[in-house]
Amino acid sequence: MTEQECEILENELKKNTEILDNTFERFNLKVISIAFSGSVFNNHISLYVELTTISGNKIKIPRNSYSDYVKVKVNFYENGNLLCSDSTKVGRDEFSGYDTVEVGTSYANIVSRATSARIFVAI
Amino acid sequence: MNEIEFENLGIEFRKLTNIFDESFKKLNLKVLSVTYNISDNGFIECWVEISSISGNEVILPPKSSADEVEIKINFYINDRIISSESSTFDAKNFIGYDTIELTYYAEIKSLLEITSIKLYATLG
Repeated sequence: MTEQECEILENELKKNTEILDNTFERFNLKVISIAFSGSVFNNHISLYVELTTISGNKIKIPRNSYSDYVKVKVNFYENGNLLCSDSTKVGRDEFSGYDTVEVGTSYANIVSRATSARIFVAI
Repeated sequence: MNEIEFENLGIEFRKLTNIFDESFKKLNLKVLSVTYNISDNGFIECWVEISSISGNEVILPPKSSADEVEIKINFYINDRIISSESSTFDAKNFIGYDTIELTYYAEIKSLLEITSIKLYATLG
């Protein structure tokens, strides 16, 4: 695969990505933008998610939760079938209103196989 | 074994998985999909997509003091459990949908002998 082909696939994947906005809103977050970056040399693909808070500068985690971080998660699908899932932690105390988080995964031929993705937040 | 064979083994594991739907239903949950990724070093990643059945919440039994739902997976060779793995999530802050990851490490030889898998939910 050439870099140009890889870029076409990345853009196509971005068009077919569903962002579960309500899951971000629940923690006072919203997604500004996303981008995929795949490697033609190995099987790695990175998802970059630009995040900001909706109001104030803090991630809001319910008081009844024992966690002090949220997880930004991405599922990759091939024709509707889940290929793999990965996540990155975002700490409540470390987040200050804006950041770009990276969720990376290495899965056999992920760049050429993934036809859609889903991004959401869980605790 | 090559990549395709490991992928086929993952597909086979899915067919061998018996999902205890009732254990999820009791908590107002259902399993949308189960996927296995098996690496050539014997590392298994299992992703379980779950959603709530109605509304967005886990429904805990009355008077339960549990905070977590534990998703568990048992691997069997014939009727013998060779491993039980689990992963938990915060029951009170479930958002209606999630993908839970469980991992297991075994020799390839053992993985090829697995005859059945059970997937169920309990309280942690």
